[in-house]
Amino acid sequence: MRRTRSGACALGALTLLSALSPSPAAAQTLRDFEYSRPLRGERALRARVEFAAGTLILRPGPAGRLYQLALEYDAERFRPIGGYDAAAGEVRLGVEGIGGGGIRVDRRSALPQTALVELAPAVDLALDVAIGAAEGSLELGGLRLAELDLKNGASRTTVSFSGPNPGSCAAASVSSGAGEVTVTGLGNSGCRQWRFDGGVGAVNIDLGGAWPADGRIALSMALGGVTLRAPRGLGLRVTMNGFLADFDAEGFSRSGKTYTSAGYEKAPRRVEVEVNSAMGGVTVEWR
Amino acid sequence: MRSVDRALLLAALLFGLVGTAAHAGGRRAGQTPAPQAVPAGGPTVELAKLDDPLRLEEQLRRLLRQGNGTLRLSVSNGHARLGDFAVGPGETVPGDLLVLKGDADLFGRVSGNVVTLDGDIVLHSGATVTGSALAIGGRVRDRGGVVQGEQRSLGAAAGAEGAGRGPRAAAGGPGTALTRLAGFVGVFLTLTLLGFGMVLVAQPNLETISDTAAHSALRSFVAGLLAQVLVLPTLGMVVTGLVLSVVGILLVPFVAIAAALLLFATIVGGFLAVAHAMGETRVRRRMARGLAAGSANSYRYLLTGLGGIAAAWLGWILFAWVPVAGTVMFLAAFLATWLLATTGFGACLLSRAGIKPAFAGRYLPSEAVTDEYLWATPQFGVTAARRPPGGGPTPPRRS
Repeated sequence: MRRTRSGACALGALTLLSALSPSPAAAQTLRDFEYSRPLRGERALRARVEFAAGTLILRPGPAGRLYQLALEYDAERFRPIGGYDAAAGEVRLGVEGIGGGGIRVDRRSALPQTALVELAPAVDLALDVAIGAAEGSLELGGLRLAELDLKNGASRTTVSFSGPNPGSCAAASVSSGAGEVTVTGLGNSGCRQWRFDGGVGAVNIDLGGAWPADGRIALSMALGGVTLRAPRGLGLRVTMNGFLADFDAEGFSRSGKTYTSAGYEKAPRRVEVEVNSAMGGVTVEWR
Repeated sequence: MRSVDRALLLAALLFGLVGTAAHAGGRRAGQTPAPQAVPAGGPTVELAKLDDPLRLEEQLRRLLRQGNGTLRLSVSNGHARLGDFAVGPGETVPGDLLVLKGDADLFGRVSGNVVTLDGDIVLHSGATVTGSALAIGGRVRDRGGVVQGEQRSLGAAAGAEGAGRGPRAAAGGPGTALTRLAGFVGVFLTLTLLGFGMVLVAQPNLETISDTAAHSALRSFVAGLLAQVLVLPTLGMVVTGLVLSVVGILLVPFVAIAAALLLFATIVGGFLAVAHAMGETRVRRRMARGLAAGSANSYRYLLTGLGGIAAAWLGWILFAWVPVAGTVMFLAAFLATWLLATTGFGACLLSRAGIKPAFAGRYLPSEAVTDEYLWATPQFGVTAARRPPGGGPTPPRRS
C-alpha cells in the first residue's frame, strides 16, 4: 500500500511538472504585425509613435505609402498599436504594454522587439515619438517635418537629418530622462526653434547641415551633460543660466552670462543657445 | 488502493489528457479544411472596423472552437468562408469577406473589407479591395493588386499552440506558469533569507513590530494606509525644501536614495514582522491544542507565516489559466498581501522600527516579568490579572 501511494504521488508530481514545463510553442512569443496605408492625396499627417522596449527605426518610406509599420513584438507583454483617424489625419503606431506576463526572472525572456516605421516624404509631418527603454534610430532627413516632439525615457536615441527638410518646421522639442540623445545635422531640420529638456542623461547635438535661417536652441538640463558639435563658420552665442553649471568657453568671448564665438557677427548663419542647467556641463567642440 | 491514491492517479491522467489535447489542437490548426461557405446564423461578426485585430482574432478563434464541426456565423454586410477561397477575374464579391482557415486568392473585386484567419490574402494582378485587408495568422501578399484602404497582417503566434489559441491564451500557458513559479520561489526565498537575517541581528525589534501588528492590527493598518498616502507628498516637500534652500540641492540625491532605502526597509521589515505574527499565532494555537508544533522560535514563526502568504500566490500560479477564477485568485492574493504589508508598514511606524513597544500589548517591561510574577499570574485557561488602572507597577502577589 505504501509503495502504491508513493508511486501515485511520484506520477502526479511528474505529470504536474510536465504540465508546467515550457513547451516549444510557449517558449517564444514574438509575433509579426504589419500595418500600412496607401497615399491617397493626403497633404498632412500627424504621426504618434509609441515604443516601450526594443529597437525602433524610423525613416522616410516609399512615395506611394502614407505610413507603414513592420513590427515584431512580445505578444506576452505588449500589443500592437495601429490606427488611423482620417478626419484628424492622425495615425498611431507602435506597441503598448498589456500589463501581463508575470515576473521576469531571466534576461532570455526579454524578447528583442523591433519596429520599423516608414512615413511618407511628401506630406507635412507632425511627429510625436515616445520611446521608453529602447534603442531608437530616427532618420528624418528628407521628410517634410512641420513639428517634432520626442520623448526619450531610458533610451539611447539618435535623430539624424541627413538631408534638408523640404518643408517648414516651426519648432522641435526633445525631452530625455535618463537616456542619451544624439541629434546630427540639426541645421538640416529647418526648425527655427529647438528645445531640449534633459534629466540626468547625455545630449549630443551636431549643429551641421544647411541652415535655412538663423536658429535658436533652448537647453534645460538637470544633471546631464550637453555636447555641441559646431562647424567652423557657424556663429554661436551661448547664454548660461544656472547654478553650478559648467561651460567650456574656449574660443568664446565672455560678457556676463553670454559667450560669443569669434566672428559671430559676420557668420552667414547664427545660432543662439540658451542654457538653463542646475549642475550640468556644456561643451562645444568645433569641427 | 486508497481513495487518495485514486484521486492522484485520476488527476495525473487528466493533466496528461489536457496536455495531449492542447498539443493535438495546435497541430489541427495548421490543416486546411475543405472549401465551403459557412452557413449563416449563429453569432454575428462585424468586419466594418479592423482597428483591433487582436480582439477580432480572439472572437474568431472562440467561434471556431465553439462551432467545431458545425460552425455557423453571420458577417454583417458580408460572407464567411471556410477553407481556401478565390475571387476570379471579373468577379465581384459585394460586402465584406471573411475567410477562415484558408487563403483568399483575389483576382477580381471585393467591395468591402477582406479578413482571413490562418491564411494569406493574395492580391493578384487586377485584384481590387475597396476597403481594407487584414490577415490574421497570415500575410497580405501583393502581386499587383490594389487595396484602397489599410493593410494589416498579424503573423501567427510562434508555435502551434499560439496559432491555435491566440496570443493571450498562449501567454497564460504552461511556460508562463513555470516563469511565475520561478519568480514566486525567488521572491519567497529572498523574503525568507531577509527574515532570517532580521531574526539574527534584530530579533527584539522584529518581535516588537510583530507584537504591535498582532495586538494593534487595526491601528497599524490605518497608520500604514495614512503613511502610504502621505509618503510621496512628504518626500516631495523635503526635496522641494532642499532645492529652495539652494545649498541643500546637493543633498537631494542622497536624500532620495536614503528615503527609498528607508521606505523599502520599513515595508519589507513590517511585512516580515506580520508574517512572524501570523506564524506565532498559528504555532501557539497548535501548541495550546496539544498538537506537535516543533520548537517555537522566531525562525519557525517566520517560515509558517510566509508559507501562509505564499499559499495564496501558489494557488494563483497554478490556476491562473482558469478564466475569471484565475483573475479572482490573483486579486485575492494581491489584496491579502497588500493588507498585510500595509499593517506591517503601520506597525513598523507605530513601534518606531521596533524600538517603542507602546502598542505591542506589553503592559510590563520584560525585566519586570520575574519568575515570581509568572508564578503568581495564571497563564493558560484562567483569566490573567488585569492591568492596574493608570499603568501601575507589578500587581501584588496573591496570598
